[in-house]
Amino acid sequence: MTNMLEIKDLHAEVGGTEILKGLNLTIGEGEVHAIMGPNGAGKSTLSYVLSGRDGYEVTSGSISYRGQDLFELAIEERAAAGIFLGFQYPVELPGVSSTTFLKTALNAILRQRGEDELDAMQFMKRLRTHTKALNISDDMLRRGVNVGFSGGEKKRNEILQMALLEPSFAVLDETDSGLDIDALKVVAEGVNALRAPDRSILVITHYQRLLDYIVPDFVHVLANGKIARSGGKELALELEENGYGEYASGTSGIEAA
Amino acid sequence: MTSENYQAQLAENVPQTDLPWLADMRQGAADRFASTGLPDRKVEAWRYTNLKPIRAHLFDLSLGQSVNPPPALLADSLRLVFADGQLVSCPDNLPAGVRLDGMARTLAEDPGVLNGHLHGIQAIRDLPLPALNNALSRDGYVLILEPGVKVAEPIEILFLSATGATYPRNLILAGAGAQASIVEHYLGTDDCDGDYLVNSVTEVYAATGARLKRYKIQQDNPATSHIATLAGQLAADAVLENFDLNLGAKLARSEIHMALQGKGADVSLSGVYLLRDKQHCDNAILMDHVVGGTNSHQDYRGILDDKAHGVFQGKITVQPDAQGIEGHQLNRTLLLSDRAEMDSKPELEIRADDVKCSHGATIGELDETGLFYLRTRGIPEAEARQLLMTAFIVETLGHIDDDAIRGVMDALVSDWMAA
Repeated sequence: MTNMLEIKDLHAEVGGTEILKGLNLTIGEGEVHAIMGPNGAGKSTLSYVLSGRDGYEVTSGSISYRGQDLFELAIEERAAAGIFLGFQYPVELPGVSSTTFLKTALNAILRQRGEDELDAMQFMKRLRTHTKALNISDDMLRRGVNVGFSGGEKKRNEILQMALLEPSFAVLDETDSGLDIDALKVVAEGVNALRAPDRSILVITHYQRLLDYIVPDFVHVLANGKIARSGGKELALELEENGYGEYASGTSGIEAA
Repeated sequence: MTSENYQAQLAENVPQTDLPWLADMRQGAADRFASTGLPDRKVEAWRYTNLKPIRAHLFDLSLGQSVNPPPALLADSLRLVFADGQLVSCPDNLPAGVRLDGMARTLAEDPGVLNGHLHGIQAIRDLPLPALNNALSRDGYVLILEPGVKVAEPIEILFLSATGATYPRNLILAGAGAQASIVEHYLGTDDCDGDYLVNSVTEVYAATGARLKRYKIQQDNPATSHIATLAGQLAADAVLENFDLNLGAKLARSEIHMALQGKGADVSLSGVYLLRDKQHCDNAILMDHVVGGTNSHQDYRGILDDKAHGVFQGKITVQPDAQGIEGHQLNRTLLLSDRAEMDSKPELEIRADDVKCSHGATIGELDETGLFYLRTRGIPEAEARQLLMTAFIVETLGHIDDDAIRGVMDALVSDWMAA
């Protein structure tokens, strides 16, 4: 069976500074992995390299997504191929209504996959099946994307997009940041509802707390641009207890974006 | 060109008339233009716009070409069509209390209704380009609404141009409480890549409580010059909403003079300019709060690509003792290219103390983070850029509350973005 994701000896720079320094990671189908690590370890850099953001330059190594060379795909092609990035800081788009945004995104992906696009009625019907569980109001859908949303609303909106776009592989970058415990539970329930045998999820987080609600199959510690240690879900608890102290040595001290 | 040269050209080209008041007015305007000529960039109002390209075309007064006008923009509109400045079609059946006709025919058949109003607005009378228009104009439209008349159908005026210089002269006289929506559409003929000049003037008189909506769509050919002056006088409680969509011409200038002369008068001016290549578009506005208790809003936004040059000069004047004023002004521009240029000059001149005035200008680039976010959701780059560009101007388009006209504008805007 082909793995969902295979990262081999990945090196990546931001603004001439090497952030990822030989990262290896394999994620199988249906698995949920968590990457934890201190600030500046390269967690967000990894998520941006996976999504193809400009300014994140891969200098060597490879990423294979379902057997395909990821670097051959443009940002939107990765999305159409089933990769989803849940943003740590979801972007506000004043003037772009949430409904228009969601419909444009879903239809763009369907079109790239050679499937029929949805008309307004079909789309609204599909949207409604997701908004209720995530407690997303019609008012939020009418507003500009993420404009005037609270931290919790922004993160729920990310999960709504994930639910609607049905990715095969989702990267959730610090999805817990800025959430109180109630909001965290709603988001975690949304993610858990999307767990499936053919869908893999990579949860990136600084804190163990999120992993009480989204229980991973594997936990990795990212430090100084590499996977320093891998283990089962119990590794997260150990990190909670002992902190990242033992992994901090040798970090460049540069905050990765 | 010297003053003597202008005198000779004007003497040859000012239309003859048997009406003494009209002859005097045209000659006075011709003399005024001859004495000043075209303004150069030392004149503050023309600091950012060079009129040199139009000089060679000023007296190139050709007769109307026979052209087949395109279909109307709006269904069931009352439509007038001008070809190279001359009226070629006019609606037969008009609602009661509405006069809608060509200027030339009105001057020939019933000139009395125009006397005192034509070229009557003081603010533009001495300006060179409106004066030249007044001296040389052959035609234009006249819309006169009797008091209380509410025109249900939109009025659509097409100015189709292929060649030469045309001087459309338009007049809107709205009686007390009258209401109408007017679309002025300036369009170049498809097969023409030549150079022509349009120098139009529209004068608007809104009596007490009149409500007018005017929309101007400028789609002149890419090599041409389009100069337009709009002058309005509003009595108490009169409302004017004006929207200006600028897409065409190489050199475009839209100058607007508004005088709010009665308490409760309200003017909203908004516009969108979309420019590429070496297009130049200058929006110049003078909003004069003559009396207290009057409101005005200006909202102009544009997108500039390539080497395009945009200009916004907006001035709000509040006269002494004109208390209880609100005057707001906003100009925002998105630059898609390093070589595009925007000059934005907001100005307030306030001589009263109980006023609420604001102005703001921003010039920025497309939000790269927003673009990335959209693309991670599967939206291809070109479509993502279009979404963000549309978002940038959508609030300004939101001032158009007529669904049919909004639909026309949206389609033109999205055609520009997709090109």
